[in-house]
Amino acid sequence: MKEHNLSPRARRVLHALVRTLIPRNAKINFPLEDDMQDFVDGYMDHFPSFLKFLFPLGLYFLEFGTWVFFFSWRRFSRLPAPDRERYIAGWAGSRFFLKRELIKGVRGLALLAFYSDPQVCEAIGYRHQEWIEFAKKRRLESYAEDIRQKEALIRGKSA
Amino acid sequence: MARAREERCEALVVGSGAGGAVAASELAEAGWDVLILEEGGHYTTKDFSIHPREMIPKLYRDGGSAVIWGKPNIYFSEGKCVGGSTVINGGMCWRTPEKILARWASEGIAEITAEKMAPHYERVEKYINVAHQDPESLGRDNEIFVEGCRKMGWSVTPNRRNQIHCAGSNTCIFGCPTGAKQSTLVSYIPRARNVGARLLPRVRVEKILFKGGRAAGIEGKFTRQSDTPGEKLIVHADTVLVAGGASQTPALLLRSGVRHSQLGKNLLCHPNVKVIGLFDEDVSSYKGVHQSHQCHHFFDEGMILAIAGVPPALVAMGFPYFGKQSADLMMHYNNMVFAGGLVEDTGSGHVKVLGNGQPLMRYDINAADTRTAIKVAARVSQVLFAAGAKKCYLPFFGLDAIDTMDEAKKLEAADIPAKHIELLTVHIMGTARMGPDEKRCVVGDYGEVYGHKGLFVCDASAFPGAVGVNPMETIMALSDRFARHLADHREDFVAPKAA
Repeated sequence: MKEHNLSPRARRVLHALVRTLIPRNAKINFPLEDDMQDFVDGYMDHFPSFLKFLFPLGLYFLEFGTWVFFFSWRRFSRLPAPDRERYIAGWAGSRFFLKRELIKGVRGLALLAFYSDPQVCEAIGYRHQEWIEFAKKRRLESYAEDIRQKEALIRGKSA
Repeated sequence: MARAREERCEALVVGSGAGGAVAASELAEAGWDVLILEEGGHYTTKDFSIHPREMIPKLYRDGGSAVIWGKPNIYFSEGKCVGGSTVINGGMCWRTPEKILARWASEGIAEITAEKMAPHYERVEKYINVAHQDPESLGRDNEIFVEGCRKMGWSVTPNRRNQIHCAGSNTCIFGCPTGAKQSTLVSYIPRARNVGARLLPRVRVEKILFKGGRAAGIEGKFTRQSDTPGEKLIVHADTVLVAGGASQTPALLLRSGVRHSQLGKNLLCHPNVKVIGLFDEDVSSYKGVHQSHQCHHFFDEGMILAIAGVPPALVAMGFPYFGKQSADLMMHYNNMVFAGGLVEDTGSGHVKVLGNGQPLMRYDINAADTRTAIKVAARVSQVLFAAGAKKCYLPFFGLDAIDTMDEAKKLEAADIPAKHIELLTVHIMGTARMGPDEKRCVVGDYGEVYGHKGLFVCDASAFPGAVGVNPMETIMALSDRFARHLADHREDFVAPKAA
């Protein structure tokens, strides 16, 4: 069974991209790059077919595009971190739609993975599960009988 | 070669969302033998969680990565699961506005009047418990929106939603974990099954079968996530009701050889513009219902303003930031109000079918709707500033934030190219529009596809034009109307059973 959707080379590019995109400051500093990379790679299973084809091509274009767009003989994955950031910022703000969309897409998925992590959620004060438990309990304590009757009416069973 | 599984029914319903579930339930209650096919999986209330990376791949078509191609690309989300988009939507219930019905009547659809539709709305509203929110379920973000609108002197209306004492858990977009939201998953589908309707999830319908010019069933396959991946399915049916949504429905009809000059055309997508307001106070938008009010003050200009709380992962995805910028901003997640608005589109696009049978949607927002989208962002920003926002983040490439009410007012006249606006949509419609004119319309007044007896469309594809409001209740009411008409004319479609 195939372990990854992307080839090892494409995964290296993706990892370099994720290392560039990963949010980090004094309070948010979690080494989630590998998880983010695996998530983006795995998410290709849900892409429509044309995206499954275009996405790896886009990564290779990013990797070797430094020659043309950044005037560097180094490939993207081998650039030092500050240069990678400037290169990606250039793609994100490019007037060429496909360059912007590639960064937007990977950024979107990578950040979806990152900000879903429980440690990150705790660091930004997002305690949704606690709220859900409280709200559920409040609802049942206040309205249990009315809920039961209305559900029976809706589903066609007698109250 | 393995033999196909075969099923037989009188009414085959393709899709279990707003349109399909209502049609299935009404026909089953009228005594029809109904089979519902759904491409997505069957999840229950217990399966829903707040974890986007788990729920989006399960509940959303293409893992939420669907796109309507054009200038600009519009990101499109629809549900792919039993219950369809009703499982993932915010549950707003609006009857079709009278202005819209009048417009449709002027195009010849005289039967769809407020008076004639009233019994259908009432029925639907009873079976999904359309009601206002209990006051304790509103969150601070909703209060802020209402305060802001009132300070601007703009009328604001409490939403009615399909819910039984909504807890205000704000998990609508990943399925309701409390069972309060009355998606078709917990309302019409169990209602239909309680009177004998059958449901087969994880089936992709590949084509509709015809015999002697009449719909005679479908051919499909169980998806690879099913228990029998790849197993072929043939269903023999007296009638086929297609309710796959305004992208999948025309694609299925086209794949099946249905030809009409308007099929797949007139794609309307109700573009959605988002704005995020940053406040000093703790808003904690997840503590309270997804959306409790809308501002219809500018409805006649084609705009609706509202808020809609979303989890941090989705917020971060929407900002153009990464690295330290993203981290610094997201530290203020609890100080944010997530707002936006809907544009009633005046232009349209189309849906085509690719070689692999998948739909391709194409839509370029026109100049008038671009102006409206900019005004929506400007006016939402004004509401947020009026309520005390310190900053508003905008969906414009090259203009990502403003800091004052004055800037928000000047934004109304800004000249921003369409390709620089980030748009999304969750409401598409119109691609198999209904009407009395066989040349201009794909389906007749009761949803039957012209020239194809026994084939019906029961979803937003049948809308004659833009509906201007959240479409769910209109879809359900029309589907109720179509199904009840079909049930009253059973003898035209179903051979009497042998004694």
